[in-house]
Amino acid sequence: MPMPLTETADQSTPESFEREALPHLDTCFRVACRLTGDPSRAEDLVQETMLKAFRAWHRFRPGTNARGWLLTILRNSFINQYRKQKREPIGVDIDAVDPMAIYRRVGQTDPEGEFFGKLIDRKVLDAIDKLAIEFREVLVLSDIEDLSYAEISSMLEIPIGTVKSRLFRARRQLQDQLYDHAVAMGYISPRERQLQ
Amino acid sequence: MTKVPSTVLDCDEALELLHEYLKQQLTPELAERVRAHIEMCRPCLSHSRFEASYLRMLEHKLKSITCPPESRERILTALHGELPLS
Repeated sequence: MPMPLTETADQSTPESFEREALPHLDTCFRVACRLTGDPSRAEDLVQETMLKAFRAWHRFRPGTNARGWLLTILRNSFINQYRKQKREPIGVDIDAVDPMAIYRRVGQTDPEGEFFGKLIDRKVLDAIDKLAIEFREVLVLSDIEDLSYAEISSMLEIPIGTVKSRLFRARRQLQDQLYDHAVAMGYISPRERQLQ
Repeated sequence: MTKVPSTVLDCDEALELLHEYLKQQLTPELAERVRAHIEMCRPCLSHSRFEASYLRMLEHKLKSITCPPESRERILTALHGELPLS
Protein backbone atom coordinates (compact mmCIF):
# COMPACT_ATOMS: atom_id res chain seq x y z
CA MET A 1 0.00 0.00 0.00
CA PRO A 2 1.60 3.31 -1.02
CA MET A 3 2.14 5.69 1.85
CA PRO A 4 2.09 9.43 1.40
CA LEU A 5 5.58 10.16 2.70
CA THR A 6 5.16 13.83 3.35
CA GLU A 7 2.07 13.17 5.40
CA THR A 8 3.87 10.50 7.43
CA ALA A 9 6.69 12.89 8.20
CA ASP A 10 4.25 15.62 9.14
CA GLN A 11 2.28 13.39 11.38
CA SER A 12 4.94 11.99 13.69
CA THR A 13 4.94 15.18 15.71
CA PRO A 14 4.10 15.94 19.31
CA GLU A 15 0.92 17.57 18.04
CA SER A 16 -0.19 14.44 16.20
CA PHE A 17 0.60 12.36 19.30
CA GLU A 18 -1.53 14.68 21.33
CA ARG A 19 -4.32 14.46 18.77
CA GLU A 20 -4.29 10.72 18.07
CA ALA A 21 -2.90 9.05 21.18
CA LEU A 22 -3.92 11.16 24.15
CA PRO A 23 -7.68 10.77 23.61
CA HIS A 24 -7.16 7.10 24.52
CA LEU A 25 -5.75 7.91 27.95
CA ASP A 26 -8.98 6.96 29.75
CA THR A 27 -9.21 3.67 27.88
CA CYS A 28 -5.60 2.90 28.75
CA PHE A 29 -6.24 3.77 32.38
CA ARG A 30 -9.34 1.55 32.59
CA VAL A 31 -7.54 -1.42 31.07
CA ALA A 32 -4.51 -0.78 33.27
CA CYS A 33 -6.70 -0.71 36.38
CA ARG A 34 -8.18 -4.09 35.56
CA LEU A 35 -4.82 -5.63 34.64
CA THR A 36 -3.01 -4.38 37.74
CA GLY A 37 -6.00 -4.26 40.10
CA ASP A 38 -4.62 -1.07 41.63
CA PRO A 39 -5.08 2.57 40.52
CA SER A 40 -1.57 3.71 41.45
CA ARG A 41 0.07 0.83 39.61
CA ALA A 42 -2.32 1.57 36.76
CA GLU A 43 -1.08 5.16 36.63
CA ASP A 44 2.53 3.96 36.47
CA LEU A 45 1.64 1.51 33.71
CA VAL A 46 -0.18 4.16 31.67
CA GLN A 47 2.70 6.58 32.11
CA GLU A 48 5.20 3.96 30.96
CA THR A 49 2.92 3.13 28.02
CA MET A 50 2.56 6.75 26.95
CA LEU A 51 6.29 7.40 27.19
CA LYS A 52 7.10 4.29 25.15
CA ALA A 53 4.43 5.18 22.63
CA PHE A 54 5.73 8.73 22.36
CA ARG A 55 9.30 7.56 21.79
CA ALA A 56 8.11 5.14 19.12
CA TRP A 57 5.57 7.51 17.61
CA HIS A 58 7.53 7.80 14.32
CA ARG A 59 6.77 4.10 13.80
CA PHE A 60 3.04 4.55 14.15
CA ARG A 61 1.24 4.65 10.81
CA PRO A 62 -1.11 7.62 10.78
CA GLY A 63 -4.70 6.73 10.26
CA THR A 64 -4.30 3.21 11.65
CA ASN A 65 -5.65 2.07 14.97
CA ALA A 66 -3.98 4.20 17.65
CA ARG A 67 -6.05 2.66 20.43
CA GLY A 68 -5.02 -0.88 19.49
CA TRP A 69 -1.40 0.22 19.17
CA LEU A 70 -1.38 1.84 22.61
CA LEU A 71 -3.17 -1.09 24.26
CA THR A 72 -0.66 -3.50 22.73
CA ILE A 73 2.21 -1.50 24.26
CA LEU A 74 0.35 -1.34 27.58
CA ARG A 75 -0.42 -5.03 27.65
CA ASN A 76 3.14 -6.04 26.71
CA SER A 77 4.58 -3.74 29.39
CA PHE A 78 2.24 -5.24 31.94
CA ILE A 79 3.01 -8.83 30.97
CA ASN A 80 6.76 -8.16 31.14
CA GLN A 81 6.45 -6.78 34.67
CA TYR A 82 4.01 -9.45 35.69
CA ARG A 83 6.25 -12.26 34.52
CA LYS A 84 9.17 -10.75 36.39
CA GLN A 85 7.22 -10.42 39.61
CA LYS A 86 5.37 -13.67 39.62
CA ARG A 87 6.61 -16.90 38.25
CA GLU A 88 3.24 -18.48 38.39
CA PRO A 89 2.38 -20.25 35.16
CA ILE A 90 -0.62 -19.04 33.26
CA GLY A 91 -3.36 -21.45 34.21
CA VAL A 92 -5.06 -23.60 31.67
CA ASP A 93 -8.71 -24.39 32.08
CA ILE A 94 -9.52 -27.47 30.12
CA ASP A 95 -13.06 -27.90 31.37
CA ALA A 96 -15.68 -28.08 28.72
CA VAL A 97 -17.61 -24.87 28.80
CA ASP A 98 -21.31 -24.58 28.46
CA PRO A 99 -21.87 -20.94 27.57
CA MET A 100 -25.50 -21.23 28.63
CA ALA A 101 -24.72 -22.49 32.11
CA ILE A 102 -25.47 -19.33 34.07
CA TYR A 103 -28.48 -18.46 32.02
CA ARG A 104 -29.84 -21.93 32.78
CA ARG A 105 -29.17 -21.51 36.48
CA VAL A 106 -31.15 -18.30 36.54
CA GLY A 107 -33.91 -20.24 34.85
CA GLN A 108 -37.39 -18.87 35.32
CA THR A 109 -36.57 -16.56 38.23
CA ASP A 110 -34.78 -13.85 36.23
CA PRO A 111 -34.51 -14.92 32.62
CA GLU A 112 -33.64 -11.43 31.42
CA GLY A 113 -30.78 -10.98 33.85
CA GLU A 114 -32.22 -8.01 35.71
CA PHE A 115 -30.08 -8.92 38.69
CA PHE A 116 -27.02 -7.64 36.78
CA GLY A 117 -28.40 -4.12 37.12
CA LYS A 118 -28.67 -4.40 40.90
CA LEU A 119 -25.05 -5.28 41.53
CA ILE A 120 -22.89 -2.63 43.10
CA ASP A 121 -19.91 -1.42 41.08
CA ARG A 122 -17.28 -2.52 43.59
CA LYS A 123 -18.52 -6.13 43.52
CA VAL A 124 -18.36 -6.26 39.75
CA LEU A 125 -14.83 -4.86 39.73
CA ASP A 126 -13.74 -7.31 42.42
CA ALA A 127 -15.24 -10.20 40.48
CA ILE A 128 -13.40 -9.18 37.30
CA ASP A 129 -10.15 -8.73 39.21
CA LYS A 130 -10.43 -12.28 40.55
CA LEU A 131 -10.32 -13.81 37.09
CA ALA A 132 -7.01 -15.32 36.00
CA ILE A 133 -5.07 -12.81 33.92
CA GLU A 134 -5.49 -14.60 30.59
CA PHE A 135 -9.26 -14.55 31.03
CA ARG A 136 -9.40 -11.09 32.53
CA GLU A 137 -7.53 -9.45 29.69
CA VAL A 138 -9.76 -10.83 26.92
CA LEU A 139 -12.90 -9.98 28.88
CA VAL A 140 -11.79 -6.40 29.50
CA LEU A 141 -10.72 -5.87 25.89
CA SER A 142 -13.86 -7.40 24.42
CA ASP A 143 -16.73 -6.84 26.79
CA ILE A 144 -15.68 -3.49 28.22
CA GLU A 145 -13.56 -1.82 25.57
CA ASP A 146 -15.33 -3.32 22.55
CA LEU A 147 -12.27 -4.48 20.66
CA SER A 148 -13.09 -6.99 17.93
CA TYR A 149 -11.97 -10.60 18.28
CA ALA A 150 -9.57 -9.96 15.38
CA GLU A 151 -7.99 -6.98 17.17
CA ILE A 152 -7.60 -8.98 20.38
CA SER A 153 -6.16 -11.91 18.44
CA SER A 154 -3.46 -9.75 16.89
CA MET A 155 -2.77 -7.88 20.12
CA LEU A 156 -2.33 -11.04 22.19
CA GLU A 157 -0.79 -13.03 19.33
CA ILE A 158 -3.21 -15.90 19.80
CA PRO A 159 -5.66 -17.43 17.28
CA ILE A 160 -9.20 -16.07 17.10
CA GLY A 161 -10.48 -19.47 18.25
CA THR A 162 -8.43 -19.09 21.44
CA VAL A 163 -9.82 -15.57 21.97
CA LYS A 164 -13.32 -16.99 21.71
CA SER A 165 -12.75 -19.92 24.03
CA ARG A 166 -11.08 -17.71 26.64
CA LEU A 167 -13.95 -15.26 26.40
CA PHE A 168 -16.52 -17.98 26.90
CA ARG A 169 -14.69 -19.14 30.02
CA ALA A 170 -14.14 -15.60 31.26
CA ARG A 171 -17.81 -14.65 30.91
CA ARG A 172 -18.87 -17.91 32.43
CA GLN A 173 -16.63 -17.44 35.47
CA LEU A 174 -17.61 -13.79 35.89
CA GLN A 175 -21.33 -14.45 35.55
CA ASP A 176 -20.95 -17.36 37.94
CA GLN A 177 -19.42 -15.13 40.63
CA LEU A 178 -21.98 -12.38 40.06
CA TYR A 179 -24.84 -14.83 40.22
CA ASP A 180 -23.61 -16.29 43.52
CA HIS A 181 -23.22 -12.79 44.92
CA ALA A 182 -26.71 -11.78 43.73
CA VAL A 183 -28.19 -14.85 45.42
CA ALA A 184 -26.27 -14.13 48.65
CA MET A 185 -27.52 -10.54 48.63
CA GLY A 186 -31.08 -11.60 47.92
CA TYR A 187 -31.24 -9.81 44.54
CA ILE A 188 -32.35 -13.06 43.04
CA SER A 189 -33.75 -16.25 44.49
CA PRO A 190 -31.78 -19.40 43.92
CA ARG A 191 -33.06 -21.53 41.15
CA GLU A 192 -35.90 -23.70 42.18
CA ARG A 193 -35.90 -27.35 41.36
CA GLN A 194 -37.15 -27.86 37.86
CA LEU A 195 -40.64 -29.27 37.72
CA GLN A 196 -40.58 -31.83 34.99
CA MET B 1 -12.60 -16.52 10.96
CA THR B 2 -16.19 -17.34 11.76
CA LYS B 3 -17.61 -19.61 9.14
CA VAL B 4 -20.77 -18.47 7.52
CA PRO B 5 -23.45 -21.15 7.68
CA SER B 6 -25.15 -21.49 4.36
CA THR B 7 -28.56 -22.39 5.72
CA VAL B 8 -30.81 -21.26 8.54
CA LEU B 9 -28.96 -21.09 11.85
CA ASP B 10 -29.80 -23.61 14.53
CA CYS B 11 -29.72 -22.72 18.25
CA ASP B 12 -26.10 -23.78 18.77
CA GLU B 13 -24.91 -21.73 15.82
CA ALA B 14 -26.95 -18.70 16.85
CA LEU B 15 -25.73 -18.87 20.45
CA GLU B 16 -22.13 -19.23 19.38
CA LEU B 17 -22.50 -15.94 17.51
CA LEU B 18 -24.63 -14.26 20.15
CA HIS B 19 -22.02 -12.05 21.79
CA GLU B 20 -20.55 -10.97 18.46
CA TYR B 21 -24.10 -10.20 17.36
CA LEU B 22 -24.86 -8.16 20.49
CA LYS B 23 -21.59 -6.30 20.15
CA GLN B 24 -22.34 -5.60 16.49
CA GLN B 25 -19.25 -7.31 15.23
CA LEU B 26 -20.83 -9.57 12.63
CA THR B 27 -21.15 -8.86 8.94
CA PRO B 28 -24.62 -7.52 8.12
CA GLU B 29 -25.48 -10.78 6.41
CA LEU B 30 -24.51 -12.95 9.38
CA ALA B 31 -26.12 -10.55 11.85
CA GLU B 32 -29.34 -10.82 9.90
CA ARG B 33 -29.25 -14.61 10.21
CA VAL B 34 -28.73 -14.44 13.95
CA ARG B 35 -31.53 -11.90 14.24
CA ALA B 36 -33.82 -14.08 12.15
CA HIS B 37 -33.14 -17.07 14.40
CA ILE B 38 -33.58 -15.16 17.64
CA GLU B 39 -36.88 -13.69 16.53
CA MET B 40 -38.24 -17.12 15.77
CA CYS B 41 -36.86 -18.93 18.82
CA ARG B 42 -38.16 -18.04 22.26
CA PRO B 43 -35.39 -19.63 24.35
CA CYS B 44 -32.72 -17.93 22.25
CA LEU B 45 -34.53 -14.60 22.44
CA SER B 46 -34.66 -14.90 26.20
CA HIS B 47 -31.01 -15.90 26.32
CA SER B 48 -30.03 -12.97 24.13
CA ARG B 49 -31.81 -10.58 26.52
CA PHE B 50 -29.93 -12.11 29.42
CA GLU B 51 -26.55 -11.66 27.72
CA ALA B 52 -27.49 -8.15 26.60
CA SER B 53 -28.27 -7.31 30.21
CA TYR B 54 -24.84 -8.60 31.24
CA LEU B 55 -23.07 -6.54 28.56
CA ARG B 56 -25.08 -3.41 29.39
CA MET B 57 -24.20 -3.75 33.05
CA LEU B 58 -20.46 -4.00 32.29
CA GLU B 59 -20.57 -1.04 29.97
CA HIS B 60 -22.57 1.05 32.42
CA LYS B 61 -20.38 0.25 35.42
CA LEU B 62 -16.97 0.24 33.81
CA LYS B 63 -16.94 2.60 30.85
CA SER B 64 -17.59 5.52 33.15
CA ILE B 65 -14.22 5.00 34.87
CA THR B 66 -11.80 7.69 33.74
CA CYS B 67 -8.23 8.59 34.53
CA PRO B 68 -8.32 10.82 37.66
CA PRO B 69 -7.22 14.42 37.00
CA GLU B 70 -4.15 14.15 39.25
CA SER B 71 -2.98 11.00 37.46
CA ARG B 72 -3.58 12.63 34.10
CA GLU B 73 -1.59 15.64 35.21
CA ARG B 74 1.39 13.52 36.30
CA ILE B 75 1.35 11.52 33.06
CA LEU B 76 1.22 14.68 30.93
CA THR B 77 4.04 16.20 32.97
CA ALA B 78 6.16 13.12 32.28
CA LEU B 79 5.35 13.43 28.57
CA HIS B 80 6.23 17.10 28.56
CA GLY B 81 9.60 16.16 29.96
CA GLU B 82 10.23 14.15 26.79
CA LEU B 83 9.36 16.79 24.26
CA PRO B 84 7.31 19.94 24.41
CA LEU B 85 3.67 19.29 23.74
CA SER B 86 1.48 22.21 23.02
